[in-house]
Amino acid sequence: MSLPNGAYQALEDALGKEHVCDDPSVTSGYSYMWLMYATHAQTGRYRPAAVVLPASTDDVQTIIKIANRYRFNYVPVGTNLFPPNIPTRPDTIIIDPKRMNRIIEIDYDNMYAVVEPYVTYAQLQAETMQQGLTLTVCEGGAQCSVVANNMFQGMGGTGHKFGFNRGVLGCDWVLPNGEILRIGSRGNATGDWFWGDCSGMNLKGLLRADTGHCGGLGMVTTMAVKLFPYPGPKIFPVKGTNPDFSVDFPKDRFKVNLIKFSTREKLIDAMYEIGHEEIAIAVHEEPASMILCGDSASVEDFWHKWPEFSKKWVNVLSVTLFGFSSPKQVTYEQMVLDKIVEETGGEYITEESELWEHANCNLGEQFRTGMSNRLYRIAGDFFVMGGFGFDSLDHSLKMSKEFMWPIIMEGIEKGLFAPDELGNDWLNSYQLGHFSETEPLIYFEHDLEAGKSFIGGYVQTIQEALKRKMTPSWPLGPMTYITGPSMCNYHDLVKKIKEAVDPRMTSNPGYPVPPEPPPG
Amino acid sequence: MSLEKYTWDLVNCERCSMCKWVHPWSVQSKERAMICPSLKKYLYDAYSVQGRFDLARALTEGEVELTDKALEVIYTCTLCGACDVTCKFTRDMEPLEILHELRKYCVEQGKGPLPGHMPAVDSIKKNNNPWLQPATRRGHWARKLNVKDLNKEKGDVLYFAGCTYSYNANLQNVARTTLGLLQNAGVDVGILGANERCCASPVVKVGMFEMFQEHARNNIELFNSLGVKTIITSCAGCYGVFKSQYPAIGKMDFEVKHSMEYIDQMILDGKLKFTKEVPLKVTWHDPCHAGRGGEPQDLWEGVRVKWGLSDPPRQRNYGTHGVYDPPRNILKAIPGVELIEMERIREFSWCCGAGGGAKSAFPEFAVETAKERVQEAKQTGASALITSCPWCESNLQDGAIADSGGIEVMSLVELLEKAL
Repeated sequence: MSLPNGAYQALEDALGKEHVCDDPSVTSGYSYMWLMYATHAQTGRYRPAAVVLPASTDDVQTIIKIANRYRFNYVPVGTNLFPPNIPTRPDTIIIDPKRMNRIIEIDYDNMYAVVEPYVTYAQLQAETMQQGLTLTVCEGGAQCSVVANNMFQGMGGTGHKFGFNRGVLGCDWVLPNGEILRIGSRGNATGDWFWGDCSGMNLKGLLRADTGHCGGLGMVTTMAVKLFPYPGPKIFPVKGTNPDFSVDFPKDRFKVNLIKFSTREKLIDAMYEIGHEEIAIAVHEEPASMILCGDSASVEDFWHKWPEFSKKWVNVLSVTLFGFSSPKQVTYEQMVLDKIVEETGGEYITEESELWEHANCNLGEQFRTGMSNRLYRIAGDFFVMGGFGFDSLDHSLKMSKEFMWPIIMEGIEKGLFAPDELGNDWLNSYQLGHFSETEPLIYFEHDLEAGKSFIGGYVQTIQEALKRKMTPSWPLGPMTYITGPSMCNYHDLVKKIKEAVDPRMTSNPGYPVPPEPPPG
Repeated sequence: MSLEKYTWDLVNCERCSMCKWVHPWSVQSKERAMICPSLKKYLYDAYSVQGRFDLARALTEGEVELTDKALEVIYTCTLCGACDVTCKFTRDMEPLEILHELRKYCVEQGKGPLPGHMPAVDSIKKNNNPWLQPATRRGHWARKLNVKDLNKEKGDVLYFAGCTYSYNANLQNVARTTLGLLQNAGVDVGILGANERCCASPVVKVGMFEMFQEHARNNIELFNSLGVKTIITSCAGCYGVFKSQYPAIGKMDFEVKHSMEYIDQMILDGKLKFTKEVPLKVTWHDPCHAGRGGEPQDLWEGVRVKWGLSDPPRQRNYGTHGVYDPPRNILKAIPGVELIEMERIREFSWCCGAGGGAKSAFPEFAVETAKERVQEAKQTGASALITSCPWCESNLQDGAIADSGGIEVMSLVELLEKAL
């Protein structure tokens, strides 16, 4: 793979020799993302033609203009966890924002922070905590880019209270045609960052809905994100060391409850009630595999404990209370929760239980590291079978039971997915139970058969959801040709937007919608 | 061992990037969040262990060749092991083993080590030390001391000075003082003088495994023949390789302790008493090879089976059982000394930059890494940056000079001596 004549020189002239590299030893570090490797194993996979390191919005704009002039593709990335971060076309460069790593501003009064793409959640939260503020950290982990993650979903452990897609405020965005678009209040006369909306029509909708454009519509170079009050210590209170480590937040302000229910239906009843009463900051159904993973020192340790553990710990709900205003808030919310648990037939897991230490870990994961961060341990990799179900709590359960788990069971029976047949999902309440997100977790290692089965099942779950008028999520790239026709042909509109702002199709060309439906 | 043995790890890395950062729970500020010195310096992901995994996979699958650039990517790593610690919060992979294996692969291919490493390697072959000094002068640091010669008589403890403390005139006092402390405490200790030989850590770090094996085997035989119960060393490099690599080479009939562990115990036992106050604010730098690399490694020979399970099951190293508390205990025991911790400590310590052959092959990278550590130390308000590794001390001094001074770099023993 190489760039057109003159293109490399143009990039070097713009960024400096040391910030452009086409050596295969270096570009190899951006070529392997297993999921894409698996899905593109037959159609071809590509090492980037070069990797570039811009330092500013101006640099990004220049790179994108050069790409248009010389007609090569580019993929903007963040911290690189996300599958569509590797090239799926020849003559593609990676825009790596390592030098764009500034926290530009933390505005305490107006509760927002302005960051560049190589600032991680851990970095930003560590700084905001100093000022009594926090934000929702994504489930992928606090080592992820705040900007990249918010462009995609921005969802995390504390979304029950802090919401979904409420994090993105003003942004500076370099479009694929090289123009800079300022969205939210950033586009107002004052150029302020504080608001995600603005006067008149807002182009924020181009950035993302339930998911983002995956680098298919240019690159956001600066983003303001919403912050929330944080009533805890300035330094994250970690105690112990790996693998026996936990957190130690003040108990009068932070309280995790683990509650066991006899059925998932009762658990969901409780989730609804918790939302109606407007209590708690984080509300999750945790599958046994997730709980045990958090308590396992290694993959060997996990599978050693699993047979016994999985018999005991099903239908477990985790409910975290924060005393934002005072300890009395925790006291009050606990009383309300007690009543709900009583009414729905739940049973608190007590301090004597083997699960208790997990409760503390849970708090740390909800608050900073992400709850799914450690799920890799179980089999090498994990994913969610099917488009993440964004729907009402009831629908989530229905879609999980009716068609997600039957597909998972097929994979388990074939030995492609690790044997977790309990049927429990990672079910998350968002915006006080207004809607939920269900993740039937599958665990697998990287082999092509497992990948094929996963992708096949993924497509199938989207189709099944559409048949039932439910809401599938994550229809990325080519999958939009499946969801689009059932949803006002939105894919045609997105395609037109792509054509309008990216006429030469240089910005991660397969996203958000490829120009043509994939064969078959 | 070969790279193929690690195929499961190479193929199953999900690019989560945990390897690049201090574990998120322990991140205290934006500025001190990164843990990989190589990535910090060179920026491209290729210079992280994630990128080196990709390179290893590409090399074994024939996608790329072992060019000079590939060698640079492989060797611009201090082998500090921080990525190994942070990866293991979520995964069961072996980044540090793979980094070692990559270098071994380079040597097997006739491409490694790098020219910058060769003077030290040749000197170890010829002189049994990496400092181009004659072997006969090795024991000169102790020539004025009245100390038992274990070549001639028996003793309980061998004090192993190591090459750098033996030859570097600026650092020799560490060995002399430590030995004096042991003698004063009544320890039946001796040295090997000119017959002490390099631990061969610099050799294994650049991938020359066969040469390392030979040196290690000879050393183990020599140590066993002495009949000592304990070997004490003040060098973190020697300590790390004795603890983590030697057990795989041969049976060791002795235990290995870092002098910090021994001194800590001497204080607890009342065998070492301080008589003077040292009014000083200090901060402590954990040497990688005494910390993350200072815990015994599981001598596992096996395979990965379904879901990545190890067969037979192996113990994992988390880097949390190194020599972390003894130096802190010692510092707290010295009257007048106030210990102020940096942000990145213990298993999350930022490397000094000298390890893995970086100091000899990429000196600019080594000093830049040290400079960052010095800046972190200065941020605490401490007047002195204390450590207990000759490589760290020397490179941190270079870092302090590069950062216009403002803090004194000294060894723990040097500080301790002021209080006696």
